[in-house]
Amino acid sequence: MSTISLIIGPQHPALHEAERFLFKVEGETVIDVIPRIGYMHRGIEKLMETKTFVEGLYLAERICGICNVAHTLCFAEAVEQAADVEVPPRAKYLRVIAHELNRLHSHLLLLGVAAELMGFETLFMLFWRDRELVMSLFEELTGNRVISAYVRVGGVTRDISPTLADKMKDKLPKLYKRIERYKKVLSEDPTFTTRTMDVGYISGSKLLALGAVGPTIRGSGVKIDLRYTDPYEAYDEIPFNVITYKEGDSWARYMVRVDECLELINIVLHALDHLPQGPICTKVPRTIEGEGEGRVEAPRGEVLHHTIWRGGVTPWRHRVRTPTYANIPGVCEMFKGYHIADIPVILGSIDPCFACTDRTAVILLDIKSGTKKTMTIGEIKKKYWRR
Amino acid sequence: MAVESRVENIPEKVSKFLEELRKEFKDKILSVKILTPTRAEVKIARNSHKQIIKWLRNRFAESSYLVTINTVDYIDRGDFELQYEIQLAEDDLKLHLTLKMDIPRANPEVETITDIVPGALLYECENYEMFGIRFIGHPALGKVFLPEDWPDNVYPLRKEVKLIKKVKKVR
Amino acid sequence: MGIVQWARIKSPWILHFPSPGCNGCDIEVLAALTPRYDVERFGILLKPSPRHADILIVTGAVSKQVAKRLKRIYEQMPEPKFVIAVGTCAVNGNVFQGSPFVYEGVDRVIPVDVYIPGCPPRPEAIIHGIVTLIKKIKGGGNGGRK
Repeated sequence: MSTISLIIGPQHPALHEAERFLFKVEGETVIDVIPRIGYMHRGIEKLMETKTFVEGLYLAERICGICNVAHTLCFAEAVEQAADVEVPPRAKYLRVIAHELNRLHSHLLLLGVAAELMGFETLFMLFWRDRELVMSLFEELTGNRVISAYVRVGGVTRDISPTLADKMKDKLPKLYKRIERYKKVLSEDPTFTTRTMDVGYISGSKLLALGAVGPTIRGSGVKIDLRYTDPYEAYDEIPFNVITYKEGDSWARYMVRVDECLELINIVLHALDHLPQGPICTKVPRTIEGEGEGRVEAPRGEVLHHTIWRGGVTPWRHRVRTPTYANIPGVCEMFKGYHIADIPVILGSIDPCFACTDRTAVILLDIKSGTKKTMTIGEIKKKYWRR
Repeated sequence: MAVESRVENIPEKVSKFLEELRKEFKDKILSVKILTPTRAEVKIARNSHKQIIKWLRNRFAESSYLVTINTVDYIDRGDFELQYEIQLAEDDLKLHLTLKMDIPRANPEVETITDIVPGALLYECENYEMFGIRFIGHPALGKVFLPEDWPDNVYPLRKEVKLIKKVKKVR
Repeated sequence: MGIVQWARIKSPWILHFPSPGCNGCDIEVLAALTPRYDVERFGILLKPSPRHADILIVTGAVSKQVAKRLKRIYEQMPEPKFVIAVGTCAVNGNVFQGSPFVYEGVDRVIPVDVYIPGCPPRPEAIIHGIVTLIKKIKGGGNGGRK
């Protein structure tokens, strides 16, 4: 049987973003995968070097709309470390609440999308209907459904009112019961289990060597979770469990997310009960000198923002490392040996967010000559941009 | 070889580990700085990164991973600073270690670490594309993000390639 | 209004093309299809292939690599076709203005009929935009400028 190359992307119903994968298949079995990322590139790292930290916060938020609180939180932590500023305790707890609600909506989103990829549209609609409850709670807390800019460098923007806290304490336990019912469906219903169990198996040690992070690696039994390994914000004061499953297949990776939803509702209720009093923001100076690194456990894995300031209002270098970028070598290994029909299931199990992956790559205008060694981008723009 | 520390309560395991690291690679380690109880920075001599990473991987085979490879362009000093970030995640030793290494801008060449850590593949590709650092021995150094018609010697994130910003006055 | 025109208004099928963006607009477009907002009551179905679609919904800022592919997909759609630009990034570039890596708006690549600003626009705003387009079609518009 000869090998055929099958291209999936950049526009494809199974992919919610423009990416291209080249699969080498023999019959129905996948032998090799070559990913071609880079379509989503917008030049964020270069743009960050021209923005103050207030503007940079808005840019950082739009790296990924689904895990937007994680990116702003990471950015704020990095700048606060560089400026050597301590955030008040009440702000830390409020940040934890917003962060966990963001994680809850992201996991419910992914589980719905995963069900849709398998053709189980009813489950997709049910998950997204329950997600709307989380979105309205998030909107009342922060002011917007998706991109809210709730976290600011030095604290948070709005305080939580006692009525909202009581409303959350009333509604979240009801959501807990619904998610327990979904957990039962996902563990027992053959529509889901036959397509995900024993599909995309990979061992924990292999993933560790390839540098994978987040629920991808927790589904293979390795206990790595940044809230436990390197606690940030108020996570050293809130007790919680790290969820791992030892099976290592796609089913385990989905179940890790379901259990995390249950665990985080407990974290939010604990934080609401133990909210300290005090201010919600401190002042941060405009010119900063120093180096800071923020690391946060986003819904997909570990996000890292490394920022270096040398005494100006804009940073010297700002580096962003996002989780899907780290998971790509792992997912390419997972495809090998399985069928073409398993491709959307396996890709969905790592929760791909290619918007995060390509933030540094450069997509430029037509450069026909290319003979100059150094070229200012303004020159390129003037000469070649067609209006 | 100074050990600077910004914090007082450093866990005992962390200081023991850093002592061990210094004893193992005496003259390759230039300085050690402890920033928080879970973060440390180690400045190392040129071309010594491969040995140190190999030693770390052998010692912590089941509980360490490479986080990222970062480059900073210090155009005024005339060199690039390569930073290798590694996370050690044992139950009693949780440390985020940054290995910093200076390489000259005129000839930026280092050895690859993809034979020890396969996960470094994409990071090295990215640093090559954005800064022009050649990793000797890398299996597939080529364009990952840049489009096909991009000229060969223009590296976008270097400081000489400037972005002209359209400043909009708000007030 | 003939029967063909009537059929076009009563069941506009859409193709969603996600340009490089943060995905905020994409999830609001998908949220518009779910039970709380339910845009399927207008006869709208999300279709996977450009050959079956009447309306192309573009979200996100358009980069040069994607622009070529976007043009090809627009050409693959059968006449009459309409384009909706959802989100401020698709309208004029948003925070990526000034970056030479991003076109400032979808209309630099393909002609657009309806613009929906917002970052991201709420599902109610998206429904309002679609209803505006349907009114425009009722008025006899055939879509596109080229």
